[in-house]
Amino acid sequence: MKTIFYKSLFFVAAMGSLIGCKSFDELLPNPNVASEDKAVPPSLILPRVEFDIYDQGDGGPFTQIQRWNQFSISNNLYYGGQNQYNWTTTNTLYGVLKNVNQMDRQATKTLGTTTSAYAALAKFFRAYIYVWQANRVGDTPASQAAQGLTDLEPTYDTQKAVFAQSLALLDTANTLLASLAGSTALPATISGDIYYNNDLTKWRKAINTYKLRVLMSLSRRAEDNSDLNIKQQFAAIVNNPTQYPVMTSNADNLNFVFNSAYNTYPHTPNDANNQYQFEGYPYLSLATATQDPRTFVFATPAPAQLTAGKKVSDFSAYVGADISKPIGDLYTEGASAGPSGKYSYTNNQRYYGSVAGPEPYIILGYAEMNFNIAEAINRGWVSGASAQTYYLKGINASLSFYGLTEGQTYTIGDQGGKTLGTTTISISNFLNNPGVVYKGDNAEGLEQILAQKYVAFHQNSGYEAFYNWRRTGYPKTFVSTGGGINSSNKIPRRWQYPVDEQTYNAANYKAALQNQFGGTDDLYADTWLTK
Amino acid sequence: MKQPFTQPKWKASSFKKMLCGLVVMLLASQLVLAQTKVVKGRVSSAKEAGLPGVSILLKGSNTGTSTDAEGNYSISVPERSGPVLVFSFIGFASQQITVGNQSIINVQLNEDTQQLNEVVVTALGIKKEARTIGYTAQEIAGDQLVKAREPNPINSLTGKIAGLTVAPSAELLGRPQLFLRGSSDLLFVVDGVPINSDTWNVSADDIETYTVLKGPNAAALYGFRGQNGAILITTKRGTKDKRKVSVDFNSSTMFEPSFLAIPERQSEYGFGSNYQYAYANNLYDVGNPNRRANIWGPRFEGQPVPQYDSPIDPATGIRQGTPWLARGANNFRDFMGVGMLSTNNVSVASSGEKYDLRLSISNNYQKGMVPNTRLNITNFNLTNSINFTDRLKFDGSLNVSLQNSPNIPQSSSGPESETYIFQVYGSSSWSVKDMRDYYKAPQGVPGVQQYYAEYGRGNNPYFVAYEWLYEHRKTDIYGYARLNYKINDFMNLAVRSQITTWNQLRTEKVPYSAITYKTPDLRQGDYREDRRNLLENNTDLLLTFNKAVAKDFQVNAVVGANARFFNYNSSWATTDFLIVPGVYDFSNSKNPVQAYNWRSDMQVLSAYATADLSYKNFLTLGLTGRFDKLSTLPAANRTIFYPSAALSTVVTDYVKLPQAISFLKLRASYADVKGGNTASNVGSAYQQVTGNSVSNLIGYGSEVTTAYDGPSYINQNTYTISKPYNNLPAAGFTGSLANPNLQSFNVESYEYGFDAKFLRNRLGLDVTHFTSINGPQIFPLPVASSSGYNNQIANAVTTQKKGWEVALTGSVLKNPNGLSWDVLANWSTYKETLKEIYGNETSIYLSGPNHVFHVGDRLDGYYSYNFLRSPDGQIINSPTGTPLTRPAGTNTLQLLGYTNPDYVWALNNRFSFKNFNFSFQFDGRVGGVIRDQVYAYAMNAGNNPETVQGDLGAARLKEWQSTALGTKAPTPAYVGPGVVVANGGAVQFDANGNISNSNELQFVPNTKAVTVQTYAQGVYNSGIEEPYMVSKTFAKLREVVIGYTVPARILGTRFIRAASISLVGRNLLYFAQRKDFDLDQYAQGYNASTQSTLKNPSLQSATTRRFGVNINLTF
Repeated sequence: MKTIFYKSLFFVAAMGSLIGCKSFDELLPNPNVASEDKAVPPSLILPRVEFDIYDQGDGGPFTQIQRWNQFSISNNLYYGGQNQYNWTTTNTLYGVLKNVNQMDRQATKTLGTTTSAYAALAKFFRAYIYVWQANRVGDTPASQAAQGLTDLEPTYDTQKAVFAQSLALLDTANTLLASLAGSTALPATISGDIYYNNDLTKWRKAINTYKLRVLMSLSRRAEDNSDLNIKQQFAAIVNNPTQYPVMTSNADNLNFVFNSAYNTYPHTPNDANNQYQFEGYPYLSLATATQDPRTFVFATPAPAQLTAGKKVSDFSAYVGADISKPIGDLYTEGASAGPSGKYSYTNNQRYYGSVAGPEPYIILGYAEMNFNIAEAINRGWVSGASAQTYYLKGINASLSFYGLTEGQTYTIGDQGGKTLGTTTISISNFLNNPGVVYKGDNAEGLEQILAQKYVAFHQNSGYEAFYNWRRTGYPKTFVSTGGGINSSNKIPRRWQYPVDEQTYNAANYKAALQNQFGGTDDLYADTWLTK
Repeated sequence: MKQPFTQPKWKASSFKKMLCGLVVMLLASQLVLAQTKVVKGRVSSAKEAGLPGVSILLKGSNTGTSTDAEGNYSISVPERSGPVLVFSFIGFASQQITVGNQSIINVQLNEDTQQLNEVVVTALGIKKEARTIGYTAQEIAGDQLVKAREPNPINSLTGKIAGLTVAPSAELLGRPQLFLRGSSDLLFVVDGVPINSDTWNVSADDIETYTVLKGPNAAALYGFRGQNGAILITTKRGTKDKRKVSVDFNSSTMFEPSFLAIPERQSEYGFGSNYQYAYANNLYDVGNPNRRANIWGPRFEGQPVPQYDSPIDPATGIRQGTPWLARGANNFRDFMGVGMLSTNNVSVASSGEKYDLRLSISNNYQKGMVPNTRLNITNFNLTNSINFTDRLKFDGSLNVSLQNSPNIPQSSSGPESETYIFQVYGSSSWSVKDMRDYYKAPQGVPGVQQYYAEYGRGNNPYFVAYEWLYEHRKTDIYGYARLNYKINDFMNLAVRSQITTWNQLRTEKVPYSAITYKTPDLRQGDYREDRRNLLENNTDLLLTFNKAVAKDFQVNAVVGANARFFNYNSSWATTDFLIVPGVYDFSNSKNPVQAYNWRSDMQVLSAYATADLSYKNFLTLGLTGRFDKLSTLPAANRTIFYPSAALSTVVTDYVKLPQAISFLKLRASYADVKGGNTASNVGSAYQQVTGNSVSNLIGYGSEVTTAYDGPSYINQNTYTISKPYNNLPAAGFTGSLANPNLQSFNVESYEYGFDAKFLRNRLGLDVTHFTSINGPQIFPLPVASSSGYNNQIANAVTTQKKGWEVALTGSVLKNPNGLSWDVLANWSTYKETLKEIYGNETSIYLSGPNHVFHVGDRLDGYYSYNFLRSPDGQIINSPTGTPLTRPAGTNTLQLLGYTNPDYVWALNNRFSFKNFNFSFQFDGRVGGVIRDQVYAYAMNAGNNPETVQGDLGAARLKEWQSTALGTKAPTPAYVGPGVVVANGGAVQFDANGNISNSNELQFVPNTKAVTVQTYAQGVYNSGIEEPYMVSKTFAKLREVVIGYTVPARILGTRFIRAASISLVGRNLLYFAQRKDFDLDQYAQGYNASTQSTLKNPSLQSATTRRFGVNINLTF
């Protein structure tokens, strides 16, 4: 019996060797993926972070965000999407922050130094994500966030503290890049950059330009929080371009560029048609009132106006839709009314005409920067500079982004390549329009700056159009009440905290609610930033 | 009916034969003296024309004989005293026949399933007497399931086993979902060895019995793979026929002439939106606002409408109108053909002194209803055993299954699916008959451009059927070899090695011009390949011990060791558009080929022991214990031990009970199973590597999953490499935090119940109550998103399942020569609740159900939006004319019902009268809710008949009449039922989405008219799911069999020894709330292994009735 037993054991062993016996420790890890101990270079993590900043943070043109910015108004729930501000718990960018930390860690590990260009970019991304979070909810985990098992219940930083550390991070990032500027050696260079093709000079400009945006977003808190030095920090950047280089043209824009094979424009020629969304009333009414040539870039004439005999060059032929209207009414009055449709569609030829799209998506742009500086001057934050100059630079930057030139013949087309007519672009008429001519560093001038900034945000810059309206109340054409807005007939001021925070970080979550809103996670309450 | 397990000893020694003969002679000589006559005859059974070894006893005497090899007997009986003969044979009901004047008495014995000494196959293939088992195992004979055939053999188990829910797939080559006590992922075991099974690799004709071990108690010996129970299959072995050779032929042919569950569509209105439609003036409808149209277009009144086949005026270039008619009102039925299922099996069996052998070949051919779809499965099965000596025996089996389909139809919600083309966006404005020539000019260009009525969304169904091909090929092999050495009378040593291996190839050819929804959708075709290979070996060493160790004490024990080696590898690759149309090769890819590969290896070493200790055969204690060493667990926690215990006692053996109770067994058992980090199913290499479904990449379709049982690798911090931008690589870090101290999961099960028989065993009742404590599981425990991660892998979350299973068997009538009626009824129910979470946590957010659960909650809730209602129950509408919605968010979702059924039932009736038999089965489920997606889609698309009936239909007609034949915008005519808030009152909501100020609000009837389209689409897109919810309650007339067994005397010749013919029907009647989809396939509610809840099943194929004939011949 013993022999049989041993023979059988041998048989088992033989079968095992046939299939391949490995040690159990060798079998434990997944052989198909890079585990955390593998040498994953920071240059491989950088594009992931960059892509997610666009994809998860902004989303791109013609998304839901651009309806909440009121640039596009849907008339068809199924194809065109919701118009309602049916806001709820926020999504977060902490997953991206985790990758930022991972990139920083791998840079330190592989480069042997904490002073690398990756470290500088990591600081920028951290600031970007912190601000992104704080803009949406108020107080939010930041300094203790994204540490994994080290801290599964991060405490919340006050919104003010989040902004303070973000500004500090941006400052350090600028300084660090400055210190690396002379070198072409590895710690001072990057690769894998999908935005600036590894050009750190441009990154440095973007970081300082972004800082201007953040500082301006604090305008309501500039007076009562002198410890933040908001105005001074702003002035320091504008006044010292050597220490704080900023964008100098559209070529410096932080853009997401579409390509025809992999990252196509949201609309393509196969998208059937442009009739499920109208262009929004808030910007189109501003543009047509000022003979803004961008009217022709964004929109096609409302069919009813053409039917009534108006020409395509006639600004009054362009009519935007009101987001607060019932979507069924918008459909009946517009899309289904055919030749008597009341509203303008998106320019089909331009925005549906190619797979790669007509324009890149601006995440952070030169035009906006000029408007921010103009606003700061108007508000008296910066002395010795002309708001009008920056205001006009902003307008011109936007016009040139769309390739508009004086005297240009512009073809107005509808779907299916149908040409409706042509018009001649007159930039001078626009710039000389009384509504555009800068009215001085006063409330009217401020309104002009913010109106032009809003128009320049058309289908870009994420939530900025909404945030600027939330902060300033401009443009006044922005629609804020009505049955189509949501069941409560008004636009929320913020998002609620994520359900996972409510469940798994409950004590800190409740404390944050108590500190800010008396205990309720109220969509309609203002945070410190916009009170 | 079941075969007897204990065979008479045919191969008795010659001494015994002599002795026997002597006795017979002696008895005979005695009887001759007392004026005797000789009675002769033949004893047969339903299956065998001659039944050898049947004992025949003269009642009230010791006189007897037995039948010979041909089933013939001869016995002398005394003439005077009204002799009665008793025919008995193990496994058959005995019969008494009064001799009277007869001298030839032919008897047909009926098999008896309710014998008390029933033997059941249990874990490791060990046969045990049913009376000694302390847990539930239910058995069904394979030959009950080979008449009214299903394409998939496992589907036939529907309703046969209490607690086992079979959800047959409506799709060709679809895998049925199996739920045992609510758990999927069951282990398949063939002849004692586990196999990897897609459920298609077993051939019904080779199956002697199925035994279902219903929980970890029963399956503790298979290790963690048996945690949810196991389906044990015992295959047929060599013949018992004394001629030593037998040939069986079984053939079924079934047709699918009519639909059982099919969504109906309106054919009053066609393509379009807001009563308008016109095909553009260009060839492919480019830029037309009515492209991708719903079915909200003009009414069919013969008015001129420019259509895809309308002529273009050469002078103006404008497409002319042609009459707008419901040309394709019957498109779906015209397109679908008659499905067919043909199953043929030949088996040859032989046995001798030293061997037995069985070879079987089966072919299963299925023709789908969708043109150009079919499935061919050929199965070879070989079993044999050789006795080298009395002590040394070798046995083995080999099963080879070849699956082959040139094209499997798809039914997803996408452009490759016929269901989508017809049932969601099928307009009656075009006729499918016009689409058969799918490269027809002018739109069509052979090989390059399809011809169709619509170029925005869908594809020509014939083009899809004949050009967009999903090929499937699989070779699946399993088998084992065993050497058995009988050491002495009570000890036996066996070594057994088994292999289960398969390779599968799936290809997809996407033709040029097919619309795919890929981004970008260049419509330039594609080619994809998905290859998967699995190899697993299990080698066991088993020492068994069976001995009465003392008076009345019996010990049956097994000590064993097992080594499991597992290897899997797969690849998935696709072109990124084709260069040359019609060349399906990776070299023909326009952009770089995208290729992924994935592999895994695993080993498990185990040692186990089991012992049954019996006292006087009425009290049995069964104990098992198993050690596993798993390569998938961290080193410190790699070796796990799990025990089980079962106690059973036959009360009727020692307690006098009322006479009506003929048998009562009580049983109780406990088991604890552990394991970890394995997955029962695996997706494509693309999904395994990236974590995303293939549909993320290609824009449509669904992931193909196959049976796996290998490492899941979930407990590891990794980077995912992807190409988010311009095909450039990028790496992202895991969102799931690994746990270096992870331990095995834990499943504990308690079970108790009884088996009782009443009225001389004519009524049997088997009742079981089970409690299964599942956890702590290995659980991706959600964490606060501010930690940067989604979850941490933890030993967390314990759920508790409690349920009942009842099986009732009855012989209502029992007359071997007249009418017999047997009834089998099954009923089962369970509920799963959350018992513990982690540490002190009392609530958990699960993203699948999208709900925060608290300890004690049921986990199968369906959380979504319903209508807001006024205090008197009326729907509140918003000023926009569509129903008011709640604020969005997880916390504002409402419980719309539970998704698990309340209970599952089946009722099977069998009648037999002489040579005829008749059986039918009703079964179904009661309770539970699900979203009827095909209904919801059709409401949104304006395609549902409800949109042309009742108030909606009247308003739709009125609106149409206001458009002057579709030339003007309609005047809205539909006023949604319910109320609106009056006087500009503003609705306020609380945190749970309920109206908090309803006492301040005034409600007045809604008067705002909107178009039917606005209303229907408004509700669909509002997130309110209430109108689309249906009850999952259904019942089916599952099968009907009318059979005739040709009597032996008619067969006459000795060539055909048995013959039977049956008319069969399956899935004949269907009862449900709405018959537009077949609820049968959606048995699942909450799924513990994925923490998800089946809420929206999306689209599915229509199901059919099946009729046919089955012929069974034995040569």
